[in-house]
Amino acid sequence: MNIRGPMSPCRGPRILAGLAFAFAMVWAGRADAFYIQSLKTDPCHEWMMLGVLGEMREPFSSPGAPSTAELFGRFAQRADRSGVPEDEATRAFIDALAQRFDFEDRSLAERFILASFVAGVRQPDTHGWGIVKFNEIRTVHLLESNQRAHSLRTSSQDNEDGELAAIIDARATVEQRVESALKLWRAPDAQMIARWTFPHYGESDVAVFGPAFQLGRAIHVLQDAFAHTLRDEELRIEAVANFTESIQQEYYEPRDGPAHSNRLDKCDVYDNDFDAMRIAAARDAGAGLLAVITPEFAIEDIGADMGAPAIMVAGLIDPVLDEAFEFRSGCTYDNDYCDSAWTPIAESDITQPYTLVFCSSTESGPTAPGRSVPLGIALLLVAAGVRILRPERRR
Amino acid sequence: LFSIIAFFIATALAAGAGAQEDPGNGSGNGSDNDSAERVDQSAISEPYSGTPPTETLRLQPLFRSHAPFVHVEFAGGLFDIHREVVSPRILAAVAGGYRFESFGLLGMAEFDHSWDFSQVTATLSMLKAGVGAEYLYVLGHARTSAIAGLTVLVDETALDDSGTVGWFVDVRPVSIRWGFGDEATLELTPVGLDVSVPVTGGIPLVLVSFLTRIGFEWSIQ
Repeated sequence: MNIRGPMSPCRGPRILAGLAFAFAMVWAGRADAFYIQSLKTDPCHEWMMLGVLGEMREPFSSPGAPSTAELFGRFAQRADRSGVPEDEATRAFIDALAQRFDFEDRSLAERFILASFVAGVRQPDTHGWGIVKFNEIRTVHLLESNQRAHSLRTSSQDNEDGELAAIIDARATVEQRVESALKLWRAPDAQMIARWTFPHYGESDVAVFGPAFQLGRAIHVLQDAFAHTLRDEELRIEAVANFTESIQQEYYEPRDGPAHSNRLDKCDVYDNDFDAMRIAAARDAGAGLLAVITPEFAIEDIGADMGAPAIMVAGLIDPVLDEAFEFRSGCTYDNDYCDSAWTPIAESDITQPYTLVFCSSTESGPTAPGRSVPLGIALLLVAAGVRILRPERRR
Repeated sequence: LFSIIAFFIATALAAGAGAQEDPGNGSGNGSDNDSAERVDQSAISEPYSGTPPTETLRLQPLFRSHAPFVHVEFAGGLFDIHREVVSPRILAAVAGGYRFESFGLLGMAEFDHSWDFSQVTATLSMLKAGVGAEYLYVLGHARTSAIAGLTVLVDETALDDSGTVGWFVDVRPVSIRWGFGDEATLELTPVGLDVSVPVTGGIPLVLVSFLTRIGFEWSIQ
């Protein structure tokens, strides 16, 4: 195993700043989780979400998975009863997702529910921005407070204690989002406003079915628990991955845990048994979550007081979370995470820092990503200016 | 942007100043080696059979006034400054007009195609038609122009149907021109601003890009 210390040495040829910049502009479209749909990546999160709802073929969907049909039916019934918003943006948002994910033949209320689930499961990775809004996406991905939404460590969650803290945070995030879904279900208007990006138009506010959107966000956390961890044969967590430090070159694996892996973000289910196994586990966790909370989404509960929702939610979903986040202690960098079979696969494509510099890092200290880009561009402009302004020699 | 524009204006003006100091009579000002060399060459007693040096080494007027012209050009840009995203854009245009002294009027038809990578790759095509005006200076080697008109959506979008009509404005602060022969001109616009709003109602569709253009002009003498 390679030791990726705080400052990995500069390797490879120097790359012109302009080329690095262009490369990074394209590369930045990769999301820091199971992939969401982009010009370069498969819609893993979206397929798994639709699989949980029975809208995809196996292995994204499975007849053996806990049934979510009853919950879906109740949501559609509620949306049909209260009416799907007719504003231009919301209808275009529903139509665009229905066309892209092939559920155009469903009723309008069903399409509204499915689109809301898909928007919800995408939301933690984009917050509704287009993936080419680089500054916004970078902020979304690097905020410490957002790491829990991806079952990742924060920079302060070090060693095995940090892993346990990260797991507790991820579980709490699922609980909070399920609680939000229940609150929205019992509210007179189960809808909420979300940001959505339309190609060429930019961001716009669209109405979503609140419970579906919030449950999509909760399921995102569960799905990422199978992309951002190393597990054993019994799917117990042996290590929780680190994104923020590994991506900013402040990373020391014995302390910070395994780096985020692009490989584990893939859902190459048709060619790879490992991915098929992970997708099935993530799918079943999501379906299990929806199945156990289905009784709470009863039509007669609309407008009712929830009582103590947090306690109720925790009691409901604890068995699902216990299974998805079961932790095996004693697995560290020193013992190669208990020789997890996931480790070499994860390490086959470690996420590298998004540097826009001539060299990926220095030996002397952290390199602020991108700080050499302005310098490189300035040097190019100066060189061009000198060439243009130099007195021309005439013969 | 303003630095780039200022740079090109300064370059163009400097070239123009040189031309005005030595308006093409071959005498030169003798203050630099190049001019001195030309003076020596023009002073030789034998009849000079080639092209007079002043025609090749000095700016020649490039107004081509009192004549119609046609123009073909291509343009491109990478970034939409309204949405602040990378959004490549290519354009092809034909224009025609009539130039008076240093002032001209023109009409333009343009095909505008852009890409968006917000979620997956999406494309958008527009057709534009507009009228505008131009002003030439630095002996016709620099040109400032603006065009405005209508733009029509060719493609259906997530929100609007094809055929939706909006407007556009195209401003080119400084274009640099090089003459070839008596009729042809190569023109480079380092930075121009294009604002296209093919959909004005509901959720408007607004594309704003800095575009670089290169074009060829034929003056019909």
